[in-house]
Amino acid sequence: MTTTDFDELDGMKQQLRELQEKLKGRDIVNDRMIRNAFSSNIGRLMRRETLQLVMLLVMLIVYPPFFRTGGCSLGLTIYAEALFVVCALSLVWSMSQLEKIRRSMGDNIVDTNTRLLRLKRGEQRWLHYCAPVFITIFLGWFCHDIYYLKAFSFGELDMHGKYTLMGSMIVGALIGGIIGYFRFYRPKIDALNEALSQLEDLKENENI
Amino acid sequence: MKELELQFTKMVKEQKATISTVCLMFSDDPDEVDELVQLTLINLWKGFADFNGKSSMRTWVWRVTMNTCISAERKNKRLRESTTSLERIGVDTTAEATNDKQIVALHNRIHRLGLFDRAIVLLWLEDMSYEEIGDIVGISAKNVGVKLARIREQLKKMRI
Repeated sequence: MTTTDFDELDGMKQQLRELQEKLKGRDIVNDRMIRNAFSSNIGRLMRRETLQLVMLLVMLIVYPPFFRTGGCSLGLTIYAEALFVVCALSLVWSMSQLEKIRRSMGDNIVDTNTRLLRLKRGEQRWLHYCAPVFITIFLGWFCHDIYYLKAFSFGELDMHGKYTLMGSMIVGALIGGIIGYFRFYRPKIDALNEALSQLEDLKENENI
Repeated sequence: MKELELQFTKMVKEQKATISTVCLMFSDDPDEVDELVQLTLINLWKGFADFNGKSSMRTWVWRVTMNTCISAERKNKRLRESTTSLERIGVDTTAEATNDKQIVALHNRIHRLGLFDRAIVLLWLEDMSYEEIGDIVGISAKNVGVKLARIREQLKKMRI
């Protein structure tokens, strides 16, 4: 490194000290924020997940009688309940992991961020692969039940209506899937992978 | 509990320059800076009771603040050189005044670095040793040296 580089970096140190001097006289960290920290048990992410969990629990209780009185088969009702239970369990697991990470924010940057990024990546994969598969099966089964119910009620099987709805559902799912994959899933996964590769890069010289 | 709250408040007031500096360097939007500060305080409070004193309080605060900022700030606005968060603390971002001009330059250059490079250079500018930086980041002191050499190259290119 040349003397010029040293001068420049020393200059940056001086600039940082000046910035810190300015910050000492300012109110960026204020008493209200400190008080909020005492009362806040959960962050925004935790609040969102808690809300989702409450909604799932409500659905878990409300849907079985609603499905059964609506004429859906016992199999579909059990499947829907199992789906809600799996979603609720995955949410609880994700929340517990998030809470663990938040409590270990004082650990080193590489480990904490690797854990957090892996958790977020896992969540994205669950949301974009497993959830749509479960929901598509559910909707297919639902259509099947509704049309057979109608057939029993009116004494004829409306196969044309059934296949029209199923076809529309498949086309809609495909369009939604493609948009979701390229518009939301891929950019998020790419950003998470890039951040993970930065962490790998940080550690790459460890064994040299 | 009240005693712990008092200790925490005292600690935050002692370390507020560190918390503010890191949050400012990780965002150029005043509202986002507030959000980062609030998230940092929540994380500091959550870990405060369990702080075991293995490292110094200063080192621990740096770790929590940087972990919070890195995990929250993934929107990648590196290429946008905005300095609105500096204006709020009284830095004249348009003036020819040399001190303020240099602070703006420092902010823009650090802000254009990757998230983890930003963390390393901030710790280095804080006059921490390679060992201390390595301990906070989670890499060896030797690796810190390698990373800093690369960061210097990046900073030089920004000057051109």
